[in-house]
Amino acid sequence: MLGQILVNGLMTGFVYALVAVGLTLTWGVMDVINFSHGEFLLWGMYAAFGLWSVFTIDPLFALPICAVLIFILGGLTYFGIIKRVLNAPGLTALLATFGLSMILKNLAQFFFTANYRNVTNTIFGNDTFRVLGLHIRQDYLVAAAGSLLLTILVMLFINKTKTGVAIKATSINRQTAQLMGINTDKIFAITFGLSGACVGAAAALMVSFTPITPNSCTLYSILAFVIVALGGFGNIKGALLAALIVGVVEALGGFWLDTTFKYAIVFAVYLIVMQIRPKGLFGW
Amino acid sequence: MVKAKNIFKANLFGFVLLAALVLIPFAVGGNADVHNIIIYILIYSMVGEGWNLISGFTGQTSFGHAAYFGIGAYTVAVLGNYYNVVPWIGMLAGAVIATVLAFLINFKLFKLKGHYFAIATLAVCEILRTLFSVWSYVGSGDGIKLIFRQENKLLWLAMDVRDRLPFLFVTLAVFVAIFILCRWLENSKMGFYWKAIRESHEVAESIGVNPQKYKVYAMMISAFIAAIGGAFYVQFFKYIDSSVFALNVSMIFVLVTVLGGIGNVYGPIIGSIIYYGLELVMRRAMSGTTSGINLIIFGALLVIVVCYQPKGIVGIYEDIVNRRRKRKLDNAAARAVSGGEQQ
Repeated sequence: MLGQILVNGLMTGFVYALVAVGLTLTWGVMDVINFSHGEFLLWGMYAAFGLWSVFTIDPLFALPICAVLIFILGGLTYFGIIKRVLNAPGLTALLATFGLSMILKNLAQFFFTANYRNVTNTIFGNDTFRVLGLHIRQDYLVAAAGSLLLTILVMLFINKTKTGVAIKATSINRQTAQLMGINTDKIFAITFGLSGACVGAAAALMVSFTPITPNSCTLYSILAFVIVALGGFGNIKGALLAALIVGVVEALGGFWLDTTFKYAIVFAVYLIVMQIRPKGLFGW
Repeated sequence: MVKAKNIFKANLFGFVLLAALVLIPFAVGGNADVHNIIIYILIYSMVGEGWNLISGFTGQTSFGHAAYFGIGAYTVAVLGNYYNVVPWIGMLAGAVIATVLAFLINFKLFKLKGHYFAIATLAVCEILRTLFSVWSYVGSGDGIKLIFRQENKLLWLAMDVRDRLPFLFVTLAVFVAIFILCRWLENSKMGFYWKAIRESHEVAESIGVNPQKYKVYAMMISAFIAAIGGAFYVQFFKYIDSSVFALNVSMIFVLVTVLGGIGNVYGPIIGSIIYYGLELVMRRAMSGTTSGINLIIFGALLVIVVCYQPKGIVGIYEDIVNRRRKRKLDNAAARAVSGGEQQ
C-alpha cells in the first residue's frame, strides 16, 4: 500500500516538475516571477486539445507543435512586456505578467467557454499495468518519463551548448555578460521562449489526464511557485527534486490525514523548510 | 486658520474625491447598482490602503492579505450569528485577532526575503483556506449565512446592508478614517523607517532602524485594516465561505493598488474606481454578464500602465505635472535670457 502511494506521489511529482522547470528558468536567469506561467500551460493544453479534436493528432505527436507555439508566445511576451519592465523596481515585472495572465485566462474563457474539455483515446490511454504488484497508469508513466527527459535536455542545453552557457553567464552577472559580447536581449528572449517551450511540452503530456478549463491551471501555477521557491532560485535540479518531494508529501499527507488537506500540507512543509533554509533547499 | 487652509490645499484632490463620493450616491437616486459599486470600491480600497502599508511603504510583497481579510469577515459572522454580537464589536474583535495572527505568522516569516516571502504569504493563505473549508464550526464547505437581528439595529450605525444608503455612508466614514490614518502614518517617524527599509534593508539596519521590528509593526497595522475591510465585506454580502482566502481575492487588493499607484495613499482608491467602474460599464454594455471582457481590459490596462510608469496612474499624473512645471520654468528662464539680451 505504502509503495503504491509513493509511486503515485512520484508520478504526480514528475508532472509538477514539468511545469516548474520552465518557471525556474525565467526566475533564475531574469529574476522575474512569471505569473502568466499557468496560463501558458493553459494555452498549451488548448493547443493540444485543438490539434487533437480538429486534426485528430495524438497529444504525444502534437508535443513539438505545442512546444513551438508556446515558445513563440514566450518570446512575444518578452519583447512586448518583460523587456520594458526588466529594469524597473521589484514588483513591476511580476505585476505586468499578472496582467498578462488575466488577459490570457479570460481570453481562453471567452473563446473556449468555461466548459470542461477532455482529450480521450490517446495512444497511451489511462489503462494501468502491474509491476511488482504496483498499479501504474500508462499516461502518467509517459508524462513522468517525458518530464525526466525534458529536465535532462534543458540541463544539457544550459550546460553544454554555447547559447546555454551564455544564458548561465547572463544569470550570474548581466553587465559582465554584456561586456563579454553576449547579446543579453536575445538571451532573455530565448530563455523566456525556452520556458514557454517547456510548459508547452508539459501541456501536451498532461492533457490526457487533466480536464481543461480556464481555471484548471491555477493550482498548477501556485504549486509551481512553491516548488521553485522550495528548490531554490533558478536551480533546475533543485526544482526537479523539490517537485518530487512535493508530490510524495502530497500523496503521503493525503493518505495519512485526508485528501482535503494534501495541498495544505505541502504549503506547511514549504513554510517549515523555509524557516530552516530561507533560500530554498538547494539554494545558496 | 492658516493651517486649516494649508491642509485643504495639500489634500485638494482628496476633498474633491470625498465630495464626489458623498454626492454621487444622492445624484443617482435609487440606483442600487451604482451604490453597490461604490461600496465595493470603498471596501477594496480600504484593504488596498492596508496592503499599501506593508508592500508599498515597507516594500515587503504580500500575496496573502486575503488571510486577514477573511479572518475579519469570519469573526464578524461567527460572533454575530452565534453570540448575537453587534457588527461593530465583531469588527474590532476580528481586527484584533487578525493583528495577533499577523504577529504570530510574520514574526518568523520575515526571515524570508523578496519572492520567497511573497510565496510564503500565499502559502499561509492557502492553508487557511483548507482549514476553513473543513472546520464545521464555521460552516465548513457551506460557509456562514449572516442572520440580521432586528434588536441589533442602531439606526444608521446598524451596518445593515438592507438600508443601502446608510451602509454606504458608514463604509465611507470608516474608509476616510483609515485613509487619514495611513496618510498620518506615511509622514510619521515610523513611516520614514518603513521607507528606509524599503529602499535598503542593510542601510536601514546600519543607521539603527530595526527592520524586523518595523516590518512586523507594518504587517500588524496592515492586517488590522484588512480585517476591518473584511467585516464590511461580510456585512455587504451577508454570506462568507472559504473561497474568501483564494489567491484571486488577495490579488484584487494588489492590482487595484498597483494600478492606482503603489506607495501612494491615493493609489488604492483610484485603482478600485477604475476596476469596478470598468465592471459596471461593461455590465451595462453587455446587458448583464461581462463574460470576462472587463478583466481582459483591466489586464491590458495594468500591463500598459506598469510598462509605462511603475508608479501607476498617480505616477503618470506626477510626470505630467512635473513636465508642465519644468516647461514653465524653462519658459521663464528663456524669457529672462532674451530680456537680458535686449538690454
